[in-house]
Amino acid sequence: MSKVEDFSLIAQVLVFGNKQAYNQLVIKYQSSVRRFLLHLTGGNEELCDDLAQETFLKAYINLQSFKGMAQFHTWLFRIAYNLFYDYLRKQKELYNEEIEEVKYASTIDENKKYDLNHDLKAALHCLNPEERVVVLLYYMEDLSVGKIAGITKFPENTVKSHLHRGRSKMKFFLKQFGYESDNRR
Amino acid sequence: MNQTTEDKTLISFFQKNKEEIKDNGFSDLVTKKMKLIEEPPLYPYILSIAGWIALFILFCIYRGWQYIPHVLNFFLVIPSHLQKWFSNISFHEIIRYDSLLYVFIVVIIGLFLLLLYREKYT
Repeated sequence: MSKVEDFSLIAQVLVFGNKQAYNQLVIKYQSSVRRFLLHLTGGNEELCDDLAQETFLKAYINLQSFKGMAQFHTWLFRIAYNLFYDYLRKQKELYNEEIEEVKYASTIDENKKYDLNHDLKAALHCLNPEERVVVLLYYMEDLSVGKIAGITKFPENTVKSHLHRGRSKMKFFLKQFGYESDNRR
Repeated sequence: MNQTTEDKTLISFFQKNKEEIKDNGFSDLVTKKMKLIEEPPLYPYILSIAGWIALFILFCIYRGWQYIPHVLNFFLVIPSHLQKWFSNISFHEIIRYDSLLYVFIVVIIGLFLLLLYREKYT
């Protein structure tokens, strides 16, 4: 579905109050928003779904303020990112996450049965929240540095440096666990 | 940004892990909540009013029904107070109309509860 179709659906919601049109947008973008939040929250499915619901509701309430300068999904990511940061601020999870990182690192050696997906989650856990957001948006959601800067409100150079640091950390982590350039152990 | 070998490795790694998350009723849940925001249910208000009436009836049963006229009077005096309010009365005079102040207190508490309620669902 193109940007034009997104705008057409948004227009239907705004002009005719067509909830079905908004539902189509939810169906279309729920996977990417939930996947983004799932990785951000370290695989906490309940929290991810709560934040995703809040993202779509906030987007619905503030749909009139969507000016169409960016794509709709970029705007959704921005809302999701803000909600995640609000949550972090409330829970003071920045501190707890450091503890969680240690837990991850210490348990990986004991169990060799981790699959690729788990390794990815564990590798993402090595990153701090800013790096994780940037890496996820760049590699998982295929967004450009410019768009990531728009979502996070970081300057483009900061995005690039977060990306560089995140990439180095992930590369180091994955190499430690036997991943080579062809992604096999 | 130029794609380096590391970039390609990570991109391929992420693409292999790019799982599509199934809807599993997520969009329906969002739609339900949207409806809740637009048409908040009336039952909390009805329950609240019914609660106050029940409380008053219990009070009357316990202390006697002679309080009913006072309550009715309380509501009946509101229009006359409002009339005076709009006819340029001084602040001291307003203070004297204590029942009017009660009304304001009730309205403010009501608005506060309404805001809390809206906050919860928006």
